[in-house]
Amino acid sequence: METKTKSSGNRIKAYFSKPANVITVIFFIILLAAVVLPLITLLLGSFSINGSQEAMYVGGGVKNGDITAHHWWELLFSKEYDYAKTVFWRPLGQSALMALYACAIAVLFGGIVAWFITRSDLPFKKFISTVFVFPYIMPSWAMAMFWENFFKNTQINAGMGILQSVTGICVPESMVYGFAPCAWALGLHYAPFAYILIGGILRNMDANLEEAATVLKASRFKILRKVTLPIVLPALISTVLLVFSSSISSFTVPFFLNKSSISSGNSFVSISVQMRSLVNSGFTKGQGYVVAIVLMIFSIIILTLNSRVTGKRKSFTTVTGKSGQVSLVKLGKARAVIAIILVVIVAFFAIMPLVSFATESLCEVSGDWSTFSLKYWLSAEPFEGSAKGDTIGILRSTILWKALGRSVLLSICVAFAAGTFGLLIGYAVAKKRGSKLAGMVSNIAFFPYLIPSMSFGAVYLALSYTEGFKWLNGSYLLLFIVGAIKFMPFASRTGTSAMMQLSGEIEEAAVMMDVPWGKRMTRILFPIQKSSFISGYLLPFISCMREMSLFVLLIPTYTALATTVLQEYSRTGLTQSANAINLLIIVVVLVIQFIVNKLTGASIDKGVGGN
Amino acid sequence: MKNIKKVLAVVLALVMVFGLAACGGGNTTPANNNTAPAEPKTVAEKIAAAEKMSEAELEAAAKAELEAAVAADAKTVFNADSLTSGVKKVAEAFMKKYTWAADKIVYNSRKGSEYQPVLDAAAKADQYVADFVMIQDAAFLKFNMLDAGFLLSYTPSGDGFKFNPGTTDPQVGVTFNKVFLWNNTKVGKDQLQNVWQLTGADGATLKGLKNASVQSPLGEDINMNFFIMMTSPDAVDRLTKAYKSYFGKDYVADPAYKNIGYQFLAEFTKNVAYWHSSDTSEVKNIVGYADDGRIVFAGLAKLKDYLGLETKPSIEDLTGAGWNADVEGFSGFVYNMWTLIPKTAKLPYTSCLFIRYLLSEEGFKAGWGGQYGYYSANVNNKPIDNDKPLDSWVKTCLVEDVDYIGSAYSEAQKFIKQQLGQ
Repeated sequence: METKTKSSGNRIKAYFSKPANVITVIFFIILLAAVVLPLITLLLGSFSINGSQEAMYVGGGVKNGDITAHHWWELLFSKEYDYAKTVFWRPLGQSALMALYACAIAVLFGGIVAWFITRSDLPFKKFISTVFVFPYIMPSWAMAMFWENFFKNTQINAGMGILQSVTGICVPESMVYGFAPCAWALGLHYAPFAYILIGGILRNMDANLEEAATVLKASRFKILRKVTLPIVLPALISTVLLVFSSSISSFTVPFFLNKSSISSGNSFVSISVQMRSLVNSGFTKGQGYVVAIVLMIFSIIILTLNSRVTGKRKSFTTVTGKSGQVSLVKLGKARAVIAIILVVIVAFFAIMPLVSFATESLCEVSGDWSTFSLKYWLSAEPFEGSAKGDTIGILRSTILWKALGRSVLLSICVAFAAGTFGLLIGYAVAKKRGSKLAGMVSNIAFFPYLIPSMSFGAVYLALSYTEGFKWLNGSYLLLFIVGAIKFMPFASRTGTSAMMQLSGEIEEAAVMMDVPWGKRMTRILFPIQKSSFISGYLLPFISCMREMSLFVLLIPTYTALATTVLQEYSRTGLTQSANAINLLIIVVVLVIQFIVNKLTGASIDKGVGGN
Repeated sequence: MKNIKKVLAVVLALVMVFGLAACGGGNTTPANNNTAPAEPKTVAEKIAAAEKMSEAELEAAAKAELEAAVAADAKTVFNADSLTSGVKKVAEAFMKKYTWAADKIVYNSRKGSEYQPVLDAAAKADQYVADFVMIQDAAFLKFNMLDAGFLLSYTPSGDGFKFNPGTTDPQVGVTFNKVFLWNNTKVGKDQLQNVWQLTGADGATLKGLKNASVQSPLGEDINMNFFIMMTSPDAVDRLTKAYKSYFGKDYVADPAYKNIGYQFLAEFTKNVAYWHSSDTSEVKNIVGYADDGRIVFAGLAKLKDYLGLETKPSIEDLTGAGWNADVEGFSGFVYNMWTLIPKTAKLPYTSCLFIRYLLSEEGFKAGWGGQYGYYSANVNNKPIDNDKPLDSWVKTCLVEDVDYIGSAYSEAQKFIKQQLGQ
């Protein structure tokens, strides 16, 4: 008996002597508490009566808190006024298709640009690489707003847009509003994401693999198909997973770009718009939770696919520590043409929206330069009956500067936590490939991304009102915790992708030399994949800086963060100030990215190969 | 030692409050027996006590309460949560008038759908959320807050206050309206005369209009309530009369629809030319809609954004249904925003004083004076000169009826979503 206890004690001791095991177990426990709680809340909400309003809607004498399958039945099968079809099935099908198109656009556009930047002798790489990430820094609705401002025209009764005023061309309504523009706006918004993930892998890939294929006289297409694509497959699937999940649940873009009349046949009501409408109404909250769960199931399917690729060791070790001299593909005569096309396209989608923000903040009447004014930037006098001077020019507003400072601080803390967690999870998953526990940790770490931001925030709001956690209510610590968990998937995906590429031999050599784990991580593993890991820090930072829905329920007051001040101005009709803040947030992110670049030598675009 | 001082300060302050309350004149019942009145303890009891106080007594009670609270915790502030920035201006004016509250009133902007989960969580946990709450979702208020007894009403009394029946329990603060607005410079003021024109069908003498711009009810809860109210008995009555006037014949029920309201909804929804994403932006853009005279359904209160422009056009270039043009059927939708006190409020006397000020002539002017589309529940407060009084809007518009919305929601929203999802 004693021997048995001793033996199991030894086994446990041996198990926990490996850092990867310790990390796996710790994160399994943390994630179980932090992620499973919102999941269970959502699930319970979909099977119970959420308040008296909902009880009235469901009828039959049910009371608040009663268990019911009504929400599922109603949404999935109700034929009254084609309810299930109109509110659920059709929007779901169309939105899934839209998200797939957005994935295709993001992966193709981002992937192609990444390839040109990392594997070719294209000129203007630095410019393209720097500017290409701008759309991702902006909120997604900014791209939608720009899309409308550019393509709208008088023929469809939407006012004159840039294209019409410059060329006189009026595009059809289906190019301005509805399904296709939503897919394009989202695809272009997430293209930098594909660029960052795929580019990071391409840059770090051992060129010997491609060169060996070239020596063996394989065609360029065959090399791409048989060597390059399989290597970038994990990153590709991660990209598809993230873009699909974000696109299908995006509310602002489909809401903003659905202005067509119903009789035009161009109207597109997405599942996210339906979900928001259901959740916002006290009568149908439970149905909103059902939609959220179904959307998560969609993403879980892709997640499973992803696990199969990474879990069964189909990924490829491409960073071996050996020489990895990259030989660039010579574009020949096409070099200049491709460069010009890319510069124009990238500048158009990345810089024009910023210009549009700037002009919107400088004109009293949109697009009318005769109403030019700097007051929304510089006025010291309140220009709307205000309290505490928060509606003066934004550069003079103490409230805004404080809010911006808090946003930056919060984003840095969140990025540090999420990035480090992601890196550690990536390490554990890579080391314990095939282990069920590691697989679970990897999958659970991704779940926060699949839970709608508002619902995620609502669960933590309820928690902060619970006995024992009240000290969290209205605190910035709560924002930090929620942000760190919500944005961890970015870091865990990039961390896992990067760690998967690393050859085990690199660390093993250090282990044999008795180098402690901390030193191995900071002196060997991190420096080798620095660009990918820095992306794992920068992505949560950027996302946190422009996040609003997640924090809106948890902030003590609207002056808490820059985005909530922005929302308040936008809501109260101060659109010029809102546009100015938006521009300011983007500039701040770019400045911080620049500082990170100067301090660490790495940045998102440099990670891909911009320099 | 410090704590003892704090406790003493609180005790002294409370003694002052109740002393003043007991010494109150006019409205209070004089103590005519030896039994001291029961000391109000809960927020509800304090509100009841406040309703019997004069303004001076209430101010004294609020001042003592705030000072005691600050003495106990220097960080104490009075939190006023509201969707409308008018409350921010009221708070500023309140602090100027009651200087003892300077820097202690904090306005928190709370968008309805984002604030409801906060109120829900606080109500479930019976926790503090704010000292004053102003919300507008009638159904949420009735079924989730009032029925649970979490939000309470205070109604001020005295010479300056007069309320219409049905507006005090719960206490209405400000009433709003959403109406059909258009740029009349080219299409004229009489473009829209009958609500059936908005279905696009030509009438006996008037032409159908195909230029309505509405924010989708899927993204705007008020519009969902407006659409649901189109199926109500009042709307049915109005639509039936307007139908006869427009088409020159009696309405014959179509078996495809539950009532004329459903039919109107189907035809109106199909005929909306443009689903705008923001009332504010759309009202701003009315300047550019001279050619097609786009009919924008938006809050009359949004005219402040239109009028904020220093250049042309002027207010005469705008027409609003029910405002400077008569429309048969209905001109728009009227809905309330309520001023309430959570039962967990920390400063209930200050809450009462704040509501009293908000509903006074001075408070209403500070928050919403000089603007179209804001109507105080205190009927002594008149709207801006060029606007119509609330009584007029109530006659020309559909009025939000929470009981009807509650009973019709299930079927009506399914029907509306079916129309929108085609």
